Amino acid sequence: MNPILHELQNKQWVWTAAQSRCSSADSSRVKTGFKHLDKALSGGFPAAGMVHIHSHLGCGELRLMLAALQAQTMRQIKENETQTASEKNAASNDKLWVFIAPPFVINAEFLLAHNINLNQVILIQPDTYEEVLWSAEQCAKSGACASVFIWQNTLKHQQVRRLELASLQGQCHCFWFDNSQQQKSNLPLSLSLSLTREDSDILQVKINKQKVGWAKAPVKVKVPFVCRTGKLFTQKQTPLAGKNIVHLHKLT
Amino acid sequence: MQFDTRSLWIYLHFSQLQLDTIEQSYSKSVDQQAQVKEPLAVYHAQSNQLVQINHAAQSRGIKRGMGLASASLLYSNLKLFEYKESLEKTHLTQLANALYLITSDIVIMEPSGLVLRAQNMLHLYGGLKPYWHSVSQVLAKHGFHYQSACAFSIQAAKLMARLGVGIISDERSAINTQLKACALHASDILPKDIEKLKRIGVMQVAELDRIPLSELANRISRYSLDIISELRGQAPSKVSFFQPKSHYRDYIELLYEITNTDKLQPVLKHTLEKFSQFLYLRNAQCLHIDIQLFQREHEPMLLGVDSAMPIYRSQDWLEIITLKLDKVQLLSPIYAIALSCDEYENVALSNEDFFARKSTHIAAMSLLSRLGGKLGSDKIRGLRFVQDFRPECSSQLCDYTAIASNGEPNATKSAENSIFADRPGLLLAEPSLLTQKVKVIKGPERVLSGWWEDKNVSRDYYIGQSDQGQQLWLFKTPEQQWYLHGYFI
Amino acid sequence: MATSSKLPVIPSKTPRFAELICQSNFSFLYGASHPEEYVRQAYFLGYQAIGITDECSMAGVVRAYTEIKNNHIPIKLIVGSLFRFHEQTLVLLCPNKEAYRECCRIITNARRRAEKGEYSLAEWDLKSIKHCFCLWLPSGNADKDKHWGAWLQKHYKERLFLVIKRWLVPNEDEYIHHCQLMAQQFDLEIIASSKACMHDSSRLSLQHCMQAIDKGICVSELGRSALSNAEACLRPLNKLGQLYPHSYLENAAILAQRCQFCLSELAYEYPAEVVAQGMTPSDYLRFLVEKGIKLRFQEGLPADIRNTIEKELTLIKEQHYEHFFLTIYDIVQFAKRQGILYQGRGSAANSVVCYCLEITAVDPRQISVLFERFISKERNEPPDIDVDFEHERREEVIQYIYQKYGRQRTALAATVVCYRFKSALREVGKALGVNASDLDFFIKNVNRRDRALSWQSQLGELGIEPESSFATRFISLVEQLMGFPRHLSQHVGGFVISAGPLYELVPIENAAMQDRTVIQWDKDDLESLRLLKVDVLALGMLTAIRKCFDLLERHYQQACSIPFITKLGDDPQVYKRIQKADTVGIFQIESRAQMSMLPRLKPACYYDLVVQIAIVRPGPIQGDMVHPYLRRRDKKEAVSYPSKEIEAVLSRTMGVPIFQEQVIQLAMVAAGFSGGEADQLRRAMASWKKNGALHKFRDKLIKGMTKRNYSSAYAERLFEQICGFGEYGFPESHSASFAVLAYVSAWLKHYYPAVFYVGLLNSLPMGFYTASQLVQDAKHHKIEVLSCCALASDYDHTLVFNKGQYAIQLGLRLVKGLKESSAKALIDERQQKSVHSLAAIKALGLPDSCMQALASANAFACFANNRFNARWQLMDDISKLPLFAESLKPTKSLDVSTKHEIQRVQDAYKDYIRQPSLFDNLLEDYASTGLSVNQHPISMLLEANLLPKFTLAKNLKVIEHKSLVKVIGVVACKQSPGTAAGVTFITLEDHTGNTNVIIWQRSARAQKQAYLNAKILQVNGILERGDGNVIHVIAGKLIDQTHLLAQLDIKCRMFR
Repeated sequence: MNPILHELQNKQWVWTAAQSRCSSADSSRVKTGFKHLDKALSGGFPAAGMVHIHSHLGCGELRLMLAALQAQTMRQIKENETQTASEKNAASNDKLWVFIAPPFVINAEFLLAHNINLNQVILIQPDTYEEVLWSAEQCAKSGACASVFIWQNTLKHQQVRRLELASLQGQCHCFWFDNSQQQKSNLPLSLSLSLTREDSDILQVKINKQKVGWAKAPVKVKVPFVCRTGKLFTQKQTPLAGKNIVHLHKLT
Repeated sequence: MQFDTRSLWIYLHFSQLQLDTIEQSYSKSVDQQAQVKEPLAVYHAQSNQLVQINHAAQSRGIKRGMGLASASLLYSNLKLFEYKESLEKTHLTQLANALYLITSDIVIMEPSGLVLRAQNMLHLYGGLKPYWHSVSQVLAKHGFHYQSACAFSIQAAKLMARLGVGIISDERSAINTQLKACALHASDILPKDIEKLKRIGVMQVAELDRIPLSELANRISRYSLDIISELRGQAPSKVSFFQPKSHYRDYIELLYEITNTDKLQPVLKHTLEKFSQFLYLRNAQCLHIDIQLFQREHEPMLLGVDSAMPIYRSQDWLEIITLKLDKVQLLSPIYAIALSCDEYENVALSNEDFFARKSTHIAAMSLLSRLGGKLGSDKIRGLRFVQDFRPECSSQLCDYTAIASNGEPNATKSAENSIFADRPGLLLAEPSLLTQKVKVIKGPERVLSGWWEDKNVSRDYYIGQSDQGQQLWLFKTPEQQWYLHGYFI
Repeated sequence: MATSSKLPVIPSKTPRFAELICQSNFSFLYGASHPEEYVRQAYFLGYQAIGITDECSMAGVVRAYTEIKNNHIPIKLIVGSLFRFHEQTLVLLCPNKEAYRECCRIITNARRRAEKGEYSLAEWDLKSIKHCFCLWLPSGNADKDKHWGAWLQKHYKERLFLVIKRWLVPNEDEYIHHCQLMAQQFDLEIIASSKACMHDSSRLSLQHCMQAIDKGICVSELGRSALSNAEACLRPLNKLGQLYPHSYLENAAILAQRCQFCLSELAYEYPAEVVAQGMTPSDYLRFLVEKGIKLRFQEGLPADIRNTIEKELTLIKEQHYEHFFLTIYDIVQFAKRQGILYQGRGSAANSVVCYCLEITAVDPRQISVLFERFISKERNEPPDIDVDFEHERREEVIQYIYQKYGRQRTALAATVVCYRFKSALREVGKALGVNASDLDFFIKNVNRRDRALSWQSQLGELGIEPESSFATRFISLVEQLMGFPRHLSQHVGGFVISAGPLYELVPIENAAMQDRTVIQWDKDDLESLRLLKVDVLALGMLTAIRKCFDLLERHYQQACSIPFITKLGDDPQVYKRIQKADTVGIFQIESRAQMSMLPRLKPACYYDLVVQIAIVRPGPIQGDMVHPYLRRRDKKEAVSYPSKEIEAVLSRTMGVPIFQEQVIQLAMVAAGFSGGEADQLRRAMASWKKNGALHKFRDKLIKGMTKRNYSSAYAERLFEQICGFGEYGFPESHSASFAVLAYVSAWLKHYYPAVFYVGLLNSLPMGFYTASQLVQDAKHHKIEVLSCCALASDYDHTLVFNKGQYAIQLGLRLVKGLKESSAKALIDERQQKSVHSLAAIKALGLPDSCMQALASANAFACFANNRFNARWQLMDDISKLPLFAESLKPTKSLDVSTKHEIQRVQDAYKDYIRQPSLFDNLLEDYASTGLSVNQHPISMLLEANLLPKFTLAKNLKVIEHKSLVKVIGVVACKQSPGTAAGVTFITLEDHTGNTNVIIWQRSARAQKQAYLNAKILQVNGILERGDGNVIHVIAGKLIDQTHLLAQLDIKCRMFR
């Protein structure tokens, strides 16, 4: 066997071991990126479990968390420095982001702007309510998913419990978006939040319930739009090769 | 493999396999009997030549070997199909499979020939005539045009078949007379040597035969020399014989009829274990199996079962099948089941990188198989980004197998060159007229695109906010109408 | 529904603005508007000024300048250029002449540094700029912009400005904010710009198409690399007022005011070295003319010619054209010293001054030259002199120019290659995703000459649904793209020579050809700026004539020259031959159309030839001028003139306008065109195909003429003729020079036919005819032609004395696949050692391909008794082994035993290598040399009794007018000239001569197969005998008889 290949495999072996160590030691919370919110949430989002989000559609409910979630998966990958870029790529390919029965079309560009690899994204459009729950449970407990997202206004106590258990079993987040009018209480959840928008940048987060700690006074966080201020705005021009040579037109 | 130089061979030259299949599909759809009246031709792009043309095209003066431009001058509505060698190969293999039932030694001469070793069949069939009768009956069933020839060397039979002057006979003298008149240009002699020979006035087999092989030896290439000695029956051809592909098939009659799919489990488990053993022995795995349930009073029910990645273990298959069976309604009791697998692949050692494919990947693949099994694979979709300015075109649903293949992350790559602006997480499939009160907080961004396909978009996009704090993606048309196109979740 | 917007409140006062950055279609495949369109649009929108800033180019600015000048548009033009540099975009503007020079210099540097079609700007280039204004468009990348902002500020200081463009693209707010920060940080003024690549938003689809063409993909595949909207155009001021703070707009207008450079300031300085030291240019010119008079007018200078010379010299002095004449004189003198044949032509070339300076051989006494006719003060045209040189030796002249004036001061003018119908259709089609075979089909089947049916409608007939939105798009885009410049290519020979470095006048870029450079302007641009160019062109006939002169000297000991022949005066013998249309190979009058006109026009003197050459052209034919001229010449119609003025213009051509100059003059005298307008008309004629500019003159011409009491029918006909001239304008000044060469070649053909054919054959490829056709013609003139022979042939064709007269020995250059070096090696060896056997030739070690080629041409017939035999011997590779070769070394004499050996070897093959048949030989002859000296396919077919009864070409002359005939021949030539809509002329060749066949479109269509494919064609038709006994066969039935000689490889030459 090619010695280099051999060595590479060895490295991967080392990496695999590290990965398992890391996943076994993940009792830590996921930092939200907002100091006040982290404080209110005893350090951040839970590492796994069911999270209920109650808000109007389009308040920035996903943007509030997406950066943190993406960073979490990236952190897991970064933890081992010996990996090559392609291995990282392969690794980030692994855990899936599953969107089950979203109310509208998921915008690929939005996900890309949040550095989510589309090869990891799965959309499920079941025919029935039961199938939605079945799929969510299957995904959550499979261990193959980073996060599962569902949009439902009603879930029964029993169903919530099943999903919570499945999420913990599969070490993933299950986000439940709910824009119904009535308040829900006493559900067996890891976390329940209510969001309301204050103005174009500020979201008010009210913690309804969390496993660790108590409900606190609402927290205000700034959730801006994604565009990368200060980075590249203009379209990339044809890359200038070598000595700054500009290719003008095709010669025939 | 080498063979003696005394065997009788039959060469079958299929001059227009692809065209024949096209014409067959035509006559099915138009009129069973009539010859296709529309001029058709198969076109070879690299050489810019028409390689196969039907009767209707010939009658308009179009000839084989013509370029596209001259052909279109003669008949502008000529229907063209691009030549596909793989397609011809597939048909050749099918033909070989069919012929394999009646004759043993078959050689596939790609892209358009088959060779049968008649010699060892003559005894079995009691002579060439009955043997050829059987062969031609099989051929007739497929309805392809072919030219055949008999000879005592493969090269000779091939040459005559290609020229369409072959005879079915085992008389050496008759065959030789026929062979002598053959032009060399259709033989396998290298074109440059054919040209050389032509330039000294040698264009037919007869003329070539006059020259002693020893005299030719210093004058033409080794390869061509070999062909010539084969033609003369002085050397054997090197060929390898066709081996039909094996399939897995299993059929089990049940001891008692089953009406409930739950009860099928043990039987299926048993069947799958046998299959699993079969694959294990061959170091193979597969992506698709077919299960047939034979119902007492109805047509057999066919269940195709897919896995997102190649597997062989019976448990894995069973898990997927069980989900699938949940949806199945039996019409009448089952008395037998069959399992078949038409294609399985050997586990390539290099391919299956044990370390690279980590447990989560396998978990993901089995999850997808499970979801697909239960909900139907059309309900599970992946997402693709297309570089288009029109939002409704830039997000596209795709087959999730793109994910399973774990290949090039194309979408991400192309996205690297793109700029991302403030884009909503959810898009309305159809923009709807704006009905609520909205305050504009950002914009405009103008999109003018899609003129090339009648999907013109001319919009000024804005970000707006509703009284409930919803952030919305809006656009205004040149007619000053406002639409809602997305939600910034 | 309520909306509020952060946009600035609409101001009451419209702001002042100047667009400083526009990329025209000279930023190839990016800019989607003509420079002229920007100028007009900017004026229309009320801009203060317009900046044309093509990418690393000045190619578009002159067009804009000319548009403003010609139409007196009150808008200021700003000259500049755009560059991409390390992801930054910079625009340099030229506020004054020094800045312009700098800009040209760095464009030249950047271009010369890279391959054609690329440029590479160095930091050094930008640092060296001391006068240009620099507009900086930040990239948006904060780190890089900080770096380059500081760099630019350091080198440009107060000449640096920051440009903000607003295209309504995503994230624009953030970008603008970033730019404002940069401006603040580096203390820069902000200037608003649209960085336009279109003059109007309606060009978006064309812009997309061009981008797709550039990338070689479909428009739909462009994705986000395309423009997302049409904002990169010239936008109305009130809209700009909403998009930008007014100060930004105002800043643009202020900066425009500070730019004072105008292209009219460019003064051209002539090279000084053409004038002898211590003399003024005009004294020196006079000195040379006086010297020339002694040479040209040895028998004394007639008073009227002296008069003309004085007039010409005065005019030249007034216009300061001395240098121009002296430059050409210098080049011509070089050619003369080197023995390179040349001939001047063009408006100024046919002056007595040029005759005296030996620039032309046209004797002013033979042609009533009016110099004013050629250089017109009023028309303000620069003088035009083209000099043709031998095509094989023009390079020597070019190298002389480079060497004398230096590369810095010399460059070729550019030719702007534009999209024509075919290229536009093909490229737009590809961009719209039409597949290549369909496009081929459209292009092949659209007849652009069909005046009844536009190409747009023809596309409909070819299957594009005309009402469909696709068709509308496709057609409109093709229409828009036609006439767009595509790339710059080098002019065939137009040199610009200047006193100082040329790159301070105009940017120079690399040409496709190694070691050639072209300036970024074409000849129209040069004319607009009144810069002079010298045309150094190549002409095959001059090569042929020089070769004839050499042969005459060697074989007849006769020194001959063009002046020598012309001095002999018009020779009736020569004209008699011309009148019989025995003109194969004779310059200009050898085409089918010319030949059929010769017996009718019956040229009998030099001026008749001048007319003959000019009249068989699309212009006169399209304007229906030929028949009136013929009738008047034959005195069948009275010559009358509508007015005195017209008589002055047309009297020398019997009242019928034939020359381009006459048409221009008519426009002036009959339609009242001013000198400037006439000049514009002339230019429009020259570029008619490119942009259809001619039609705007139509109304003016017809109105002007009817106002002056000319009939409108006459005016219409004149306009038709102008349109025809547009495509193939033919001026009298050119015709006059060509006629000299036509006469000289006819003279040679008449008196020294063998010499003439050898000269022509050695100059191929040139002219109309193939070697085969020339050899056939020679044989019809009873000249013996000897086939190629390894022992007797030189590389070139030669004259050999055979059976009491000169015969043509074909040379080895005819043998296909034989390299010149190999042939020469063979000839060398042959002279040193005597070579007597094939084995000996083989031992010379020539490449295999070369030996094969010689065998094919039957050049070994002297050794082996036939081709097959020779090849069989050659095929054996054993004798290539060194040992073997040793034993076959050629010996000095051929002893008996060797002879015996050859015989023995050949006998041994007899059993299995057969003799080639006559047919085999014929095929081989054609395949390897393109001709057969011994056989003609038709005579062979005849002998083989394969042909039905038919009439041979030589026998047609005894057949009655209007009788049915059957002719058969090899299709030697197929022409569908544009002047005869739908008609194809086919020349059928048999061993006795040529037959002219005319096929009407309907016959051709009905018998497509035979018409398109036949190499040997039988035509059943009707013989027609016209004026001057011109014989045609009007085709009825066409029968393809090629199958009789299925493999005959005669490439018939197809002219379209």
